[in-house]
Amino acid sequence: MKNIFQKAANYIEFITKFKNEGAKEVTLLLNKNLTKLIMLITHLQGMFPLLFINSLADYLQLIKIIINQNLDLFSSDIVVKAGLWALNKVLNAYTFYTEPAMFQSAPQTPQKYKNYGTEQQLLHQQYKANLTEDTIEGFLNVFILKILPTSKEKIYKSDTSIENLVESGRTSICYITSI
Amino acid sequence: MLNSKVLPNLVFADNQCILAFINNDIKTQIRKVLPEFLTQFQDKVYRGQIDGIIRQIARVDFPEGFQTLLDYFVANLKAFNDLLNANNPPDFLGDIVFNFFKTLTLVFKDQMKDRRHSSKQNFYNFYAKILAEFSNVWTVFNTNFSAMLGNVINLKNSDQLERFMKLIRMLDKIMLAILCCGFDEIHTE
Repeated sequence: MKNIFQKAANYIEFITKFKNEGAKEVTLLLNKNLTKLIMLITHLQGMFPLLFINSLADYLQLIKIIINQNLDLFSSDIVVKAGLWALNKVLNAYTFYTEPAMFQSAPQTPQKYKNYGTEQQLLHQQYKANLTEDTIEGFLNVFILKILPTSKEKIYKSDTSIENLVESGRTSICYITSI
Repeated sequence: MLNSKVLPNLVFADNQCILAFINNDIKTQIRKVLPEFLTQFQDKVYRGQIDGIIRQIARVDFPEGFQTLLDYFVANLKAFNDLLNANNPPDFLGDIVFNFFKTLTLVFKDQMKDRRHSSKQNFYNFYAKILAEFSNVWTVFNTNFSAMLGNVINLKNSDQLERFMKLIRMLDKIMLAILCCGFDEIHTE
């Protein structure tokens, strides 16, 4: 698992390097590769919430970098979307990373997982150390100040396009859905 | 499986006709010949057709019922590793290698979705075999990624660059799919 996270870190390093050099095509392709890798890791984490015993901290760090760096570093928002999806999955698996007592008593915890107390304890420590109040505040700041305004701009643009279509009389659903 | 998947639209009045048409010998023959086709045909059109058929059969039969395909994967991965260990890497952007990993990706993508063979027993029997061979290839690509990328960029050919990046994506996908298929509960290493 460590190697896989190392690979994601390498991608970010290369994206920074090529972005500074102005190599657009390589940067875009690296963005695509990084997105795919994050989505695969997220899928794995969703299927096996107790898998990242020695690497949950790395995973949370990776998500943090992706969301905090967001559009400053990545040339397309697919990476940020993948990061948000990854964060969402981690938060959804809260039962597995919460206090051991809560984990044992939570009705959502499958019976078979309750034998993995030691592993869960390790995951809880990493979760607690990395998803601190400051980190969450940082995420919220990024959502409000950077990500949401970008989405709003996109919605505004598409609204304008619809207005143009209405003005030009092309109100067929085919034109509108093709935006 | 061949009755229900490969010939889903063939409706016979008497089901015996289908059974007579696809008997066990023919099924064995098909399973034997398909990996051979993978070695012989690299043309995009043929390859797409063969991959499609293999994917359909593998969705249900792989790995237990499609031993020839498993052998094909393991043998080729072994061959790659031998070449890598001899410091004579194969042409990874050539059709043969690229198509091989494409087929492997397609087969494993379905395995990851269905997780039909996700028990530990099956992991140790089948996926450990593939992981042992594949992890070396993946590690070589990881450690030499910078140099390889530099070489491809120097070619100044955007098609080759895109092909290289696609290959890397496929390798990542295979790696994660093997892990997904192999783990039952948790992994402690």
